[in-house]
Amino acid sequence: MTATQYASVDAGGAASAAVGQEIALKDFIALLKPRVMSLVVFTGVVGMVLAPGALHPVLAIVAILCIAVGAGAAGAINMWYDRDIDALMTRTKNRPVPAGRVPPGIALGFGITLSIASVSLMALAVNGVAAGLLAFTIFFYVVIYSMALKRRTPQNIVIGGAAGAFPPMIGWAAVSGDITLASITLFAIIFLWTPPHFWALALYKKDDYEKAGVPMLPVVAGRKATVWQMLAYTVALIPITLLPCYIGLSGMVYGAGALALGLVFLGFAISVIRDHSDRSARRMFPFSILYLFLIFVLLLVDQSLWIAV
Amino acid sequence: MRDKEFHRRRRWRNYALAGVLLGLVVLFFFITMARMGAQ
Repeated sequence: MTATQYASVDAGGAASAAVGQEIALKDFIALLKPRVMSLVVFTGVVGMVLAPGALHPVLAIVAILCIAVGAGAAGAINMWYDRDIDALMTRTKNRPVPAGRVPPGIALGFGITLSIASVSLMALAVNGVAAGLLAFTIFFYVVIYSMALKRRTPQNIVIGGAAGAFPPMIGWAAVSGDITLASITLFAIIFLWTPPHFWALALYKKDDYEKAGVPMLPVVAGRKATVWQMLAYTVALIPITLLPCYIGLSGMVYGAGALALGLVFLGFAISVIRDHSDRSARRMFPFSILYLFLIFVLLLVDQSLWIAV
Repeated sequence: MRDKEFHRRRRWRNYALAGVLLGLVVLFFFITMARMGAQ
């Protein structure tokens, strides 16, 4: 048998690859959404570092691996389910499934296998709480967000954003074995950050979402309603990012940094309201990623300062 | 020529799978050691 590549067009309009074709390793990696995975892993690691208690270094590496693989598995199942709308959007049409490089069934099988493997390994090697949270995160992303909310309501990424907010709680639970106010605070930071982050993208990709029939807020409610909601979530986010100081999770170095970053983020949200072109939204989206990254870096830096003192 | 290429790819895929399996064996060994040490 020689490697033969042939494609067909399924009901959703996506080119679908036939089973039996060669699949490149890079396409399997792309199914795992590595860029999303990197932020997920980073926030998970911060949750592990901040949690009270200690975890054997080998088990800590296993926990990080499970968080990464679990997040990637959810991404692969999401790509299987969304292959019809991904084929319609410029941003996603080159993903392995809609582009016809990976058959949908392979993507689904890959995702399910890795989901079961990551949750099982977390339960065996680390603890049941972390494994339960990881399983719930995968379920929430795939079933609640991708299948139930994404195509039905403009609040899709508000509620669905919870899936991306769980990793620091999983990391925390991996070390401490429980869920506390501190880990819920880390969850809340990402949860409130998600709407302005995603709506900034949706503002300048509105046509894409409209074409695919995804009811993102700018498509359903228009630009004006979206930018004001982005501002509301940004305003709500700033005090939540300061909560780690009030509950004793971090100190003033983090507090000052988080406040400064929050004010810059707020400035971006205001500029999106004042600017009627897409330019400010295009600038806010990458900054929002940097913002979340720096918030969690500050948590780490503050923690290391406490240890040093 | 195509068969030669196919066999080359299949050989590398087998090596990769063997590597993954070996990696899992090593991983489970270290997990067991770590958990036994913790007790």
